[in-house]
Amino acid sequence: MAVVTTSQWLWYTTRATGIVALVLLTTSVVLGVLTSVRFETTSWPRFTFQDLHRRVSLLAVVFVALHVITTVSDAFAPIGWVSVVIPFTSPYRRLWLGLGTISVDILLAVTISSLLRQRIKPRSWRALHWLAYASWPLAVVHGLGTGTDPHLGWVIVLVVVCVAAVLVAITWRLVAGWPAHAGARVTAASASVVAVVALAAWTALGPLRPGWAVRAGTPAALLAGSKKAAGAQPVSSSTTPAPSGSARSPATSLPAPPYSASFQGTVTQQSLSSTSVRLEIKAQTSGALVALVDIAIVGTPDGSGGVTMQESRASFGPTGAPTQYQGEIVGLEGSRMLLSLANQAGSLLHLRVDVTQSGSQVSGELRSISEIGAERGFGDDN
Amino acid sequence: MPIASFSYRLRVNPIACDAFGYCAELIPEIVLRDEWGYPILREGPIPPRLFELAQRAVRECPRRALFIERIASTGP
Amino acid sequence: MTTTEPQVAASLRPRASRVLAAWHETGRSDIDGHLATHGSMPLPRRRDGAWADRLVEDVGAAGLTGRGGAGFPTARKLQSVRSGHRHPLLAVNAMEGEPASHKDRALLSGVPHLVLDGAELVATAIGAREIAVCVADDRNDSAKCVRTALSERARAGLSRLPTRVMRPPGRYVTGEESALVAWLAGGAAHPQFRATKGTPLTIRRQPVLVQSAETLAHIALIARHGPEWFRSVGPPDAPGTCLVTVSGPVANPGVCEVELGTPMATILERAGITAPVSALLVGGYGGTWLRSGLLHTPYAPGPLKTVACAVGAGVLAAIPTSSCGVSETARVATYMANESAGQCGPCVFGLHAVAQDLVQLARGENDSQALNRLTLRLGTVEGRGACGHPDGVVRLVRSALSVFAGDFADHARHRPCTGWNHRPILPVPPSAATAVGRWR
Repeated sequence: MAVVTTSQWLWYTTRATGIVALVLLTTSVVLGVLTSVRFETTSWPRFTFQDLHRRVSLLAVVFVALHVITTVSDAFAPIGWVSVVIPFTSPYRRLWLGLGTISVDILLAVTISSLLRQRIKPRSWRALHWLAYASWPLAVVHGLGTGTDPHLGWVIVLVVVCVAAVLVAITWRLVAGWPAHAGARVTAASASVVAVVALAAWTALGPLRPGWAVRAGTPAALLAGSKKAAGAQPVSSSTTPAPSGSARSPATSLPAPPYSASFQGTVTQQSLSSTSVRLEIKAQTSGALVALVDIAIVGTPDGSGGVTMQESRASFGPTGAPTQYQGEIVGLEGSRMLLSLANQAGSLLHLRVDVTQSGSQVSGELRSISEIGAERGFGDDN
Repeated sequence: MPIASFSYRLRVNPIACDAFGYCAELIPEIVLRDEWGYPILREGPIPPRLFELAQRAVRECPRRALFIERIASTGP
Repeated sequence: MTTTEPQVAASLRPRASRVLAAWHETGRSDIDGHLATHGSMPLPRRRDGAWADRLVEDVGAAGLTGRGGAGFPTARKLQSVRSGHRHPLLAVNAMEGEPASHKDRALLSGVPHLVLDGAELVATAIGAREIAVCVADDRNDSAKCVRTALSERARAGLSRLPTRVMRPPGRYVTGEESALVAWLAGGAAHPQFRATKGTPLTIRRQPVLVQSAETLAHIALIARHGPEWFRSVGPPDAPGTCLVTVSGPVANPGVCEVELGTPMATILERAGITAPVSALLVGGYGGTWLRSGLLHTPYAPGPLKTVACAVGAGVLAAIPTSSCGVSETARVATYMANESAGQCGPCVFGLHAVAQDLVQLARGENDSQALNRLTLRLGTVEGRGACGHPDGVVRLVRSALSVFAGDFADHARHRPCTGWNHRPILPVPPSAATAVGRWR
C-alpha cells in the first residue's frame, strides 16, 4: 500500500536504523551469552568477549536512539516523545509500537545500570541485566508489527537469521552448566520454543498478510486514499482516533471518497497572445475537507465572455500536498467541469466542479465521483 | 596511581568469585588458576609496572570479586 | 548420631567443678538448684557504667579466652562492642555444629541458668537491649531446656532483658560467627567474607557480639567470685577450667570439666580407658590428630601448640588401635566436604576432591598418584576460602598423613593396615552435599 509523506528521508532513516539496531542487538545478545558460557579461542581470551559485548551494545543503543529520534521527528506518524518511554500511548499502531517502547525502557535500564556497575550491588545489576533477555524479543515483534518492510524478502531473511542466532545462543546458554538449576533451564527452554513457534505463526498470519497496516492500527488519515485500501469504504473510526496534533502539521492526505465540499477562491485571466488567454482558478475548500484546487484553462475567447478550451491543467490536494492529484478537464459545460486527476502512485480521482463567478471571486462546490458518466447528473441539470 | 610510599596487594573475595578467569588472562604474572579455574594469587605487593593492569582486572571482573588492598610500606 | 539425653559424666567429680557445679551438687538444673549453689546474680539495679567497666576488667584480669574455638581474649571482644553508638545485640552461640562435641547440650540441660546469667551480665555490660539464644533447629531438647529456664527466671523476676530462643539450621558452618550473624540478619546461614580479619559483625549497622555458651557460663562465675578465684586453677597463661567431650574407647564418654593444663592422658584415664588408644583427635573435625605417644601433653593452648594441636571445640575423640585412622579420616573429610556452605570454589571442589581421594585410599581402590595428589591439593585449598572451614579440613588431613603415615603407606599399596576392625568410631551424621550456591 502506498503511504505518502513529505518527510521521506526521515522515514527511510527510521526504518534503516531500526533494522541495523535489530542486527546489533542480536549480536549483543549472542556476545553476552558467549561471556556467560565463558567462551574462548586460542587467539581470543575470555575477557575480549565481554569487551566486545559492551562495545556492540553501546553501538546498538546509538542506533536505537537514532531510530527513536527520527521516528518522533517525523511529522507523518503521530508518535510523540511520551510514547518513547510510556508504552501503549501512541495512536500509531498502539500495541506494536508499545512493545518497542517497553524494549527501549528495558534497554535504557540495562544500559544505565551497566554504566553505573561499580556503584550498585552486584546482585541488583545481575537481576536487571537478565531483563535484557526480554528486551530482544520485544524488539523483534515490534519490528515486524510496526515496520512497513516485513514483506520485503531480504528483511524476512534478516529477521530469520537474527532469531536463529539468538536461538542457538540461548540453547548454548541453557546447556552449559547442565544439570545445575535443571528446573529453571527446562522452563526457559520450553518458553523459548513456544515463543519462536508463536512468533513464526504470528508473522505468517499477521504482518505478512495484506491489510496488516489497518489491522495493526495505523490511523485512518495516514492510509492512502486509494480504493484498494479498505475496500473503497469509508474507514471507520473504530480502529484509532484521528491523529492528535494535526494542528501541528498540515493535512497531508485526503479522506477516502466519496466527499464533497464547497470552495471559495479567485479567478485570474492572462493574455498569452492575441488569440489565446489563460484562465486560472485558485480555490480552497472549507468544512471537513480542507484542500486546494487549481484549475488552469488555455483557450481562445469566444467573444461572449467565455473561453473555448484548448488545453487545461488541474491540480487538487490537501493543504499539505496541494499537487497530490494532477490532471486535466475532461468535460466542460457552462459552469460545470469534470476533472480527471491521478496521483503519483497512479490512483485516479474524478471531481465534478460547479463554479459561480462574480468578478474575480469564485465560489462553488466540488464533489468526487466514482466513474465518469456513471452519474446521471451530467448532461441534465440538477 | 600508586603513591611512592605505599604498596598494594591484589586480593579476591572467594564468595563472589565465579571463576570467569579474566584476571588470570589480563595479569598472569600475579594470578594463576587452580585445576577448577579459581584464582591463586601470588604473595607480595603488585609490581608498579603492573599496577594499571591490575586496576583493569579489578574493573573487568564480572562479579567484582577482585580488589586492591593497600598494605603498609613497612612490613608487619 | 544420637540426639537423646546429653551425656554429662555425672559420676565423675573433677577436683574443680565450677561450671557444672550446680549439676553435680544438686543433680538439678532448675533455678532453685542454681541459686542454692551459686547465689544470686550480681547485677546492678540501675544502669551503671562503672560496674560494666569493672566486669570487663575482671574478665580481662581473669585471662578468660573464648571457649568457642577461636580462643580470643574475651575482654578484648567485649570492649570492641562497647565503643559503638548503637545498642549491640548479644547472640549466645549454643549451635554445637561439631558432631563430636556435646558441651552445649550439657550446659543447656544441666546448668542453663549459669549460661543465662552470663548472658544477662554481658548484655548489661555492653549495653545490649536484647539477647538471642541460638540453638540448632534439630536440637529440640536443648531449646526446651532453655525455654523452661527462661520462664523460671521470668517467674522469679530475674530476667531484665528480652531473651529470644532462635533456631538456625543445624549445619556445621552455622556455628561460625559470621554465618550465625548472617542468618540472624535474615539471610542464609553462610559465612561472610571479611577483607580484614576481625572486622566487627553487624546486622544493618547494629553491632553483634557472638559468645559461646561456655564462655558466658565462666563469666557468670567470674562476676560472682572475681578474677583471682578464676585464676586459682590452671596455668598462669591459660587459667581456669573448660569443658571437654571425651569419646572413643572409654568407660564414661561424655562431657566433663577439666582444669586447663591437665595432661590429656589423665583426662582419658579419668574417663576410664577400655582399650589401647592409637590416636586422639583434638579440637574437633577441623582439628588435628595426635599420636598416642604424645598423650602426656598438658591440655592447654601453649603446650598443645607445640604438638600442632589446639583446644578448638573441646573435643578429645580417641580411636583404638584396632580401628583404621585412614578410614576415620576419610569419613570425617567426606562429611566436612558435604558441610561446605558452597560459596567458594576451592572449598566446594577442593574438599570434595580431597575426600574422594581419601575414600579411595581407605578402600584400597586408589591409583598410584593418590597420595601425591592429596598432598598437592591440600596446599591448593588451604587459605582460599572465605572462612576457616577448608583450612580445618586441610589441618585434619595433614595431621592424619603424618600420624597414620604407616597406614597410609599400606593403603596406598593396596595392603591391609593395622586397623583390622573398621567399625566407625567417630560420630559422623548423615549429610548430603549442598547444592552449588548461586545462579550461574
